[in-house]
Amino acid sequence: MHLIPQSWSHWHILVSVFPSIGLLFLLGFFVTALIANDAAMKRICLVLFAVLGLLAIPTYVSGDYSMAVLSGDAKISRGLMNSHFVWGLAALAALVITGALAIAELWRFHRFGRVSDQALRLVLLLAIVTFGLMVASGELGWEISHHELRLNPATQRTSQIWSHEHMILNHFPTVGLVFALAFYIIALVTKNIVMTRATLVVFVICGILGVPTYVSGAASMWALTDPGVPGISKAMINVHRDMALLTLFGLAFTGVAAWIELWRFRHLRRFSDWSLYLVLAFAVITLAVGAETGHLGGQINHPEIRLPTDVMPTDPKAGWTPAIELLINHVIWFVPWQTVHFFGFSLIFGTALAICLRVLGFWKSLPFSAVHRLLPLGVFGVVINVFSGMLILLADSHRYLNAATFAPKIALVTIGAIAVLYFSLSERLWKVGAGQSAPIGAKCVAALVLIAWTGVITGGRLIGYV
Amino acid sequence: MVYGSTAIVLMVISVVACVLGLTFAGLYYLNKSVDRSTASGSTLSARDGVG
Repeated sequence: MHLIPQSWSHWHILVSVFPSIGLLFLLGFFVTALIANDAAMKRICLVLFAVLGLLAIPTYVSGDYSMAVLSGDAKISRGLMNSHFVWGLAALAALVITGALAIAELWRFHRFGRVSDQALRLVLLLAIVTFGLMVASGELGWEISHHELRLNPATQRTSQIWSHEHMILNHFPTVGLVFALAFYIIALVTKNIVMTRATLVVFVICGILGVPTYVSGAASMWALTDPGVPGISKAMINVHRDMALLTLFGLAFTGVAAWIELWRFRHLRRFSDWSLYLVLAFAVITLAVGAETGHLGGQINHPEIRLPTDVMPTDPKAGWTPAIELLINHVIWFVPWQTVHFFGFSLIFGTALAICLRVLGFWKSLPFSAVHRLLPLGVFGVVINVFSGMLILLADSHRYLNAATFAPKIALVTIGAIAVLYFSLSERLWKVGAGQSAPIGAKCVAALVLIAWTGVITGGRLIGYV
Repeated sequence: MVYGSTAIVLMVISVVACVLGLTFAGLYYLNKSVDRSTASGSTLSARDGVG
C-alpha cells in the first residue's frame, strides 16, 4: 500500500474529504461548543476552521493539476470537470473566508482575551454555507470518474444507488475518527469534560454509521460485478471487503467502549481514565485499519492512483470474506447465528420498550435514572445483531440486499440507534424524577425509537416475502 | 455435508449460551461498578437533584 499520495489525483481525493466531510464534523463540535458555552472548545474549533481554510490551497492545487492530467482521458467528461471546478472554486473561496475570520477571532482572543459572540455566529453561518457549496462540488466531483453512476438503471440487477450511497457514506467514519481523535486527545490532555463527552458521542455515531457503510458496500459489490463494469476487479473488491469487515468491528468496539463511558459518566459524574485510554486505543487502531480500507477501496475504481509497482490481486475467491460466505451457508453455522440475531432483537426491543414507555408516561413512580440503568442491555443487543447480522448477510447478500424491505430496515437501524443516543445524553430527561413527566421532545424521540425498531424487525421478517 | 438434528441443536445451544453468557457477564460487571460507586457515596444521583 502507499498511503502517501504519489499523483495529483491521489492527493486531491485524499485532501478534499477534509474540507467537505470533515467540515460537517467540525460544525457539530462548534455547535456543541456554542451551546455548552465552552471557551476552550470554541477556540480549538476556530483553530481547526483556520487549518481547513489553509487546506483550501492543496485542495485547489491538486485539483488543478488533476484536471490537467485527466483532460487527456477520453472517458472523462470535460463538462463535468468544469462544473466541479466552478462549484469547487466557490466552496474553497467560502472556506478561505471562514478560515480568515476564524484567524481574526483567534487574534482578537490573543490580543483582548475574549472572542466576539457575533463573530462566532458569523463563522458558523459561513461554515454552513461552505458546507452546502462543498456538497454540490463533491457530488459533481464523484461523478467525474464514477461512470457506473450514469449506467442505465434498466440494465442493472442491483441499483447503482447503493454505489452512490457507499461512496458518500464510507468517508464519514474515517474522516469522523480523524476529527474526533484530534478533539479527544486535546480533551484528555486538558481534562475538558464537555469536549470528552462530545468526542465520545462522535465515536458512537461513527460506530453506528459503520453499519450502513458496510451494507451499502456489500450491495455496491453486486452493482459493480453483476453484470460486471469494465475495469472493476472482483479480486480487488474482495481485498477491500476483508479490511472493511475489520473496520466494521473496530468501529463497533470503539463505539461501544465510548458509549459505556458515556453511560457510566451519567451515574458516576466522572470518567475512568482506564476506560478513556481504552477508547483511544480502539479509535487509533480502527483509524489505521479504516485508512487502509479506504485506500484499497479507492483503488477499485481509480486506476489513476495505482502505481506501476502496486501488485493487484487477481484471485476473486481469495480472502477471508469469501471463506466466511462459504462457511455461514452451512446450516450448522447459519441457524445458531440466526437464533442469536433473534435474541439480539428481543434485547433491543425489550429494553427500548421499557425505557420508551417510562418516557411516554408509564410507571411514573420510577425516576428516569432508574430505567436508564437498563440501557446497556439494549446496546449489547445492538452489538450482538451487528455481528450476527453481518454473518447472516454474507450467507446470501445478493438476495437480502435486493429485497424491498432491506434498505428501509438498515436506514431504521441507523435512525433507531442514533435516537437511543438521546436517552444517554439529554440533561432534561436525566432530571425527570419519580412522579414527573418527561419533556414533550423526549416523548417524540421515544415514539420515534419505538417506530424505528418496530420497522427494523418487521422489515427484516418481510425479506423474501414482499 | 449433511448435519443431524442433534448436532444443529447442540450448536444452537452452544452459540446462544456463549453470546448471552458474555452479554450478561458484561452487564453484571458494568452494573456492579456503578452500584459500588453509588453505595460508597462518591457520586450524586438525579434523585438528589443533581444532573
